[in-house]
Amino acid sequence: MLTCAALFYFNAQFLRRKWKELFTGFDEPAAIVQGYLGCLTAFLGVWAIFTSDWTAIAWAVLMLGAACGVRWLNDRHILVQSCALAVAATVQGLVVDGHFSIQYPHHIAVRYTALPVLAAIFYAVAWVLSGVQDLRIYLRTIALWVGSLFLALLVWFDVAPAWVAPVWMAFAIALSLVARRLRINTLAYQQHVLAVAVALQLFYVNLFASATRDRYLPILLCAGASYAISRFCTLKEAAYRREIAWAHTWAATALLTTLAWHESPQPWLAPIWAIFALTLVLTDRIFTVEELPWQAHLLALIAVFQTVACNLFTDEKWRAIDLRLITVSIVVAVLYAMARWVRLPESVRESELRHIYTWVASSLAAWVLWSELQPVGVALGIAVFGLLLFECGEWKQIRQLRLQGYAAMAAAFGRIFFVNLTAATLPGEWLSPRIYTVAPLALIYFYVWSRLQSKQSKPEIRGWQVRDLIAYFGSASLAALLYYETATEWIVVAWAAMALLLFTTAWLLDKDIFLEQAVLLTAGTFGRGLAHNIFGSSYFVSGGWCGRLLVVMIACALLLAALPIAFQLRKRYAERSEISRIGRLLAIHRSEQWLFFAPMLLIAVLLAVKMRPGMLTLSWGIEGLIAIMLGLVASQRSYRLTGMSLLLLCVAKIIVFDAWQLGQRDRYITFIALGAALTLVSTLYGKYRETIRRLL
Amino acid sequence: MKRLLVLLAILAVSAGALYLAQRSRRHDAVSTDAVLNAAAEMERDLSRAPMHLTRLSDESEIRIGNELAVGYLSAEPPRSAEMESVEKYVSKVGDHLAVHAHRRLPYRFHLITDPNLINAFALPGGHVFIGLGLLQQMTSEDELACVLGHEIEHIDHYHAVERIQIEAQLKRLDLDAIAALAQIPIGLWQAGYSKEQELEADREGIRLAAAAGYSPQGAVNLMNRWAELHREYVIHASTPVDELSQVTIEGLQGYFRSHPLPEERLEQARKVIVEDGLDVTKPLTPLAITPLIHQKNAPAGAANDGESIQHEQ
Repeated sequence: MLTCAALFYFNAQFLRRKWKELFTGFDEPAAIVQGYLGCLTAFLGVWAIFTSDWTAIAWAVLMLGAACGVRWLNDRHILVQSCALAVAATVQGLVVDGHFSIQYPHHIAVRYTALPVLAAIFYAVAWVLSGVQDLRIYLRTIALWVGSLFLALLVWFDVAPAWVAPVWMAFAIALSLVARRLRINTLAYQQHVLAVAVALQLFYVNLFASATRDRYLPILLCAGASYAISRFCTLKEAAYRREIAWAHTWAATALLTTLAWHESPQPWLAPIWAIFALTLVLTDRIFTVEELPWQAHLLALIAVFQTVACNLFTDEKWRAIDLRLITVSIVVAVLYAMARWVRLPESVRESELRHIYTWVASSLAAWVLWSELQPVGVALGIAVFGLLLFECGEWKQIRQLRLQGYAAMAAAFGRIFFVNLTAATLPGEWLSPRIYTVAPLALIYFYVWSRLQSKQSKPEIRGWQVRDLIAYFGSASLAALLYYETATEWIVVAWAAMALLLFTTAWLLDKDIFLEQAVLLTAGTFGRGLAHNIFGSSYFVSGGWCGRLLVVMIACALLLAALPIAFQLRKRYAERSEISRIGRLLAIHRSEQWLFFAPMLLIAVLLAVKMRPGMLTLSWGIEGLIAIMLGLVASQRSYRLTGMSLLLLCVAKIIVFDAWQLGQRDRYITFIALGAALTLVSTLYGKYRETIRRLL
Repeated sequence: MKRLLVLLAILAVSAGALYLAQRSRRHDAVSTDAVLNAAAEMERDLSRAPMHLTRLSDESEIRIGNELAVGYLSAEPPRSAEMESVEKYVSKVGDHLAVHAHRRLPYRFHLITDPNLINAFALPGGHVFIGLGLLQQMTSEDELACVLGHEIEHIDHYHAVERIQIEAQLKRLDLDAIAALAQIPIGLWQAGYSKEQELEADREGIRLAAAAGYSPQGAVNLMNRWAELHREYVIHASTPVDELSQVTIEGLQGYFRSHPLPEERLEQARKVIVEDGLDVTKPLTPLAITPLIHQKNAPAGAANDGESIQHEQ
């Protein structure tokens, strides 16, 4: 049959071409038919001679011969025959040479040689047909695909399942390199298909392998290879180069992410993902791989979700250390690092979008502090954290970190009203938890204020002077501490002392903010003294009124002690035109009026409430006299008029009430004392007439 | 450099404070108490002068108290002979204390036989109510005297009558009309008073009990027990979000129960004992009604009834 075949081809190709004039009319189709008959008889002859595994190889050799014929003779009919032989060889190769019923592990099978030989022949066919256009290109493409298919199948059946993917990956790399070298698109496409197969194999086989090595090594190798060839797996000029590169790196990232999810214990998953995200970011910084930042963003996002969903609630320990503390700290550190190093698209680089990372990190850190610290220590812990953020923000000139610091400090301030101020002193504690947790907080606020004070920059938050707010936090913390720490009756004294301190601070530092606070606290002292100490005290308090009078008097004395400072401040403000709106509202430039009227009114009301009617006029008279003296000494018209009004009130009271109602002894004392006071006032007015006229 | 040193100093102080806070096994509850206490105290201070100026006469106060008491007692189920004995015993102790009160009012003492009521409260005009649950918590007559003294002082220091004055103003009630009084729920009295008023009642209650010959140690023992119960009662939220919602809900519910912490009350009791030189060595008088209040037909005390504990504390 092979001889017949040779004769048929001899007729069809040699004789027909040699004596063309003889093959006209019916003869030419007959010669062509002979060519097909030659192919058929060769096919059957080979089938008869070569049995089992060798049949496909022999047919493939025939196909190669046909391909050579196509190349040299440029005959379309031989091309058709070649294609038919290719189909036959492929089918035979798959059905017989594949031995698909025999799978790994097994003794060495004949397909070890048959399939590579088949593949080689197919590649040879493709090579023979390379550079030839028109219909032959299909055969070339088919030959390449079939060749690769045989090799891939060989790997599938003869390599241990766990290692199929790495070998395929190696094969894919080889295909890529060859494709680039020989500029054969088909091989590049085969690489893509093989890469998909690798991914599927890893996801469905390796991920669930029983041996640890079979899970880790193949996935790590393939992912690494995928990253490595992502930029080299297409022809240089391929239009889809970017997309396929993205697909490769995304697939690799997905593989590694899944591996981490599959392998790591729940609490460690978030840190691993976060570290992986950071690795991607750093890789991007070195190699500038545009899709890696996006993968890092996504990984960071799921790491944060995992942290919030799992790590923040875990109670597990790792060598006696809270696992929550360790794992969330790692995530937090990574998020801060990512904010620093992640590469953002040009369009948003100028914005502060990267600080989403720092805000999330700071929130998680605050949460961990809340979880790890005793309730009474949380406010201080968060404030210290805020201080550190603020310092970092100052150091690195990052506004968002400073804002986070302010937010933390504000949260700490709010929290003291829910735990710290009501924390009781336990037996054995020598220092109240209120003091040791709130006082450092105030220190932090004042320190931050001083740092903000030293730089004259535009407001960090539009419409808000953060430094003023921080200063208010500091003073309010101390005022609240005094309120809750001091015995209720003595709060007024504590506040008065603090007001004095604030006046002194305002004078020494020349800062409006402390003067505002001092005035507010003076008003608070007045309100508290009036409402609580005078009208709010116990109806049946033991010890009579003396105790309360003492308390209010001390508070008033402390306020009056601030008067010299207030006069100094008044001089300073007389030369100053610019005062803040709140300052103007609180009349800080006339703080001496607050410091005079608050204690004077308190004393007057206290006397009215506590003194017996017989002594009230006398007491008010003395108070009025003191006010006038003070007015003369300080050259204050308002003081003097107040004193005069009080004296006139006393005179009116004497005429209307005391002269008729008082007992004899009280009446005598009142009349004598008030007469003496009026005489003294009149003398003083006479002596300082000129001064008074000038003042009036 | 100077700035760095200041920063380091602040960090060192803060670290020390955090160490102190972490080291002690504290059970600080996160609550709105601090804010509520301040608000309640401010409200009380601001209303004090108007209350004083519009004070009801003792006769009116007694009349209102009687009408309220009749209303509340009518809801009580019929009681056994044992419970009658218990009430008589409570009245005997109360009468013994009432003679030392500042105001001469007809003090009367009632038992509420609900074993779940771990609470006591006072109405204006002299009516004092005590729950069976609270009695079951006691081990000595001195403790009972401390509780009754506390309630007497709420009446004595006008806390109860001021509350009804405020309630009448808020709800525009005519206190001369019986129907108006019926609108005042018992919960108003059970809820307690402001921190300052509670501390005042504690302070004066201990003095009253001491004046009547009881040992102030009874008050210390009872408050100690409440402090321990409170520590057990404190439940820490598992997340900041939970804590926020817990604080919000408790804050809304707890506006009228802004009580001082048991530790604070205990500290004050010890201070009063020292300042007044009260004799704590005096032996405690056993509670004579113990077998009656713990017998089987008396419903079992709900020692862990957090809601009621919270009221009294």
